[in-house]
Amino acid sequence: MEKKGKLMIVVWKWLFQNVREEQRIGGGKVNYDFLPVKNQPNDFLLRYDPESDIKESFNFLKAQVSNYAKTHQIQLFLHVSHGYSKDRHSRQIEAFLIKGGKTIVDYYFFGNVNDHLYIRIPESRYGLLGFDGNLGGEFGYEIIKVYDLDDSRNILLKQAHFNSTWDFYYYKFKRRTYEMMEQLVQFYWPLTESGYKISENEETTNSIFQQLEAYVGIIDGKPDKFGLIMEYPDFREALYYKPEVIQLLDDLKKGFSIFETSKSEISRAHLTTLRNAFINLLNALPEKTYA
Amino acid sequence: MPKPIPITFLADAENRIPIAMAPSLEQAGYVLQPFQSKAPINEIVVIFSPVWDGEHYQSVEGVWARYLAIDHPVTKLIVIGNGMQNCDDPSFIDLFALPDDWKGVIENLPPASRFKDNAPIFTGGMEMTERLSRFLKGHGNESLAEVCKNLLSYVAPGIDVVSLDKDGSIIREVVKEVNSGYAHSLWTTLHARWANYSPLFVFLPFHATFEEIKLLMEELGYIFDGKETDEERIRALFAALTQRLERMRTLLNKLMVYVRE
Repeated sequence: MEKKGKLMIVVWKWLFQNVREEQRIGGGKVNYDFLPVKNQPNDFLLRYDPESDIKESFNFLKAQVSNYAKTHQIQLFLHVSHGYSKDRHSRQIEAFLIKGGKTIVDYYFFGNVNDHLYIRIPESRYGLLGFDGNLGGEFGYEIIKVYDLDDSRNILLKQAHFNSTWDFYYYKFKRRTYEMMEQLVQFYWPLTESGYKISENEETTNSIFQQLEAYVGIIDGKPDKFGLIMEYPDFREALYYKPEVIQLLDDLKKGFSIFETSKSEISRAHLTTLRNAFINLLNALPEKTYA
Repeated sequence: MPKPIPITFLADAENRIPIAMAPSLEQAGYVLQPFQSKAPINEIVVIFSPVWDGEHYQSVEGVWARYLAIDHPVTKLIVIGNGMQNCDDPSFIDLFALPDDWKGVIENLPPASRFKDNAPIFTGGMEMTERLSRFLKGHGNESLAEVCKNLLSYVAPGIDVVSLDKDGSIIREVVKEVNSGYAHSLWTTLHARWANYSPLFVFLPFHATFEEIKLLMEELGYIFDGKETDEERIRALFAALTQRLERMRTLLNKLMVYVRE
């Protein structure tokens, strides 16, 4: 079977720089285009900036998904400024993204500049989006170019920017699960070892707890403080392509109940149960922990 | 009381498990000593894996196993971690199933020489053998040692010209030449690969090699990034260019030994 290509669809207020006049629809404004990735002929970014209402944009997206689902893995990113919202639109989106109980597209609402899609200097040089509808751009004194131009001045996305953005979303849930397990075990295992006397810093304990709460939020599908559920699709993906994962996630959630009575008095037996629940879940997810 | 047997251990600074585990090892007659790049390695090495590099949990045991098999074949390696898959290699010890008899386990452990062709332990984090391989070989046919060789072939005529240039009239031309076109693209490959991967390698056992590569990269940057403008200094840099590129190639080839084919 031929390896599938990758299609990343980003719905945003794009500027569409470098679009030639003949590409413009009816001589007017362009509202979508496909940008290939250098040396990866099957991989594309589809930039889309719908002017029409949300329903029409869904028709457009549905048509694209229908065209490419057989030949491409697809990630869909919807910017909240276009009016998309998890509460109002998830059913409509899922209607064309889920086939036979299996998600064929990972989808994400975005709207927070801290999202990994954006280039954030100095935190991350390898996103795709700059500010104001641009791909890459100027960040302080630094110019980050995420594409080259071919001889006909067509955009060719740089592999490093496209691949690292794709991989971040593709691997995120497993990575997050693995890191959560390691953080918990490395923090709590010493506390369950007899004779370990170092007093725990309250700040560290709270930080671990906040992360744990956020993680539980992800697997419960709860929105974050911005009202977005950007990480939920990772869970959904796991859920649909491997239904037994539901049981493993439930086991893990039961394991978390040990923290309800105390943050620091945890028995080795409880910690072992929790660790085993993590391991079972991680082993059920076929992708790598890190790209 | 007999002198405790020293164990070299590797863990990240955040990991308090070695501190918590030290008393039970001491009872069995062992003492944990942190790995230091300039200190000799003891005959028993324990890796608390994965290690946190600030952004990822790295599984470094594959690289270490191969390194010990080649450079310290009689060493005994123990990897302590959570694990991801069932691993029945005696060198892997599950953190949640520690042995009661440490001495018996360690004494019966086969030496690291058996890891030369196969390192079956993986704790589920970022696989560092793969990262080291990507650094050295790239994704396809882009070996960094080859890049050095090509760079040297390309700039060799320039080196000769600069050495014969008495009045400095053509030095600028040569500098311009190596700061553009093919030479520049080779240098960019070398530099970008180093910049992307070297921050990941802090827990690998090749500190001295990486330190030397870092210095060479800085020195080569004076020519290939066009940082140097002083004519005499440029002349001196060109005079040392062959030696530096050859040395870089030697160091990269040396590291290749630790990456399985």
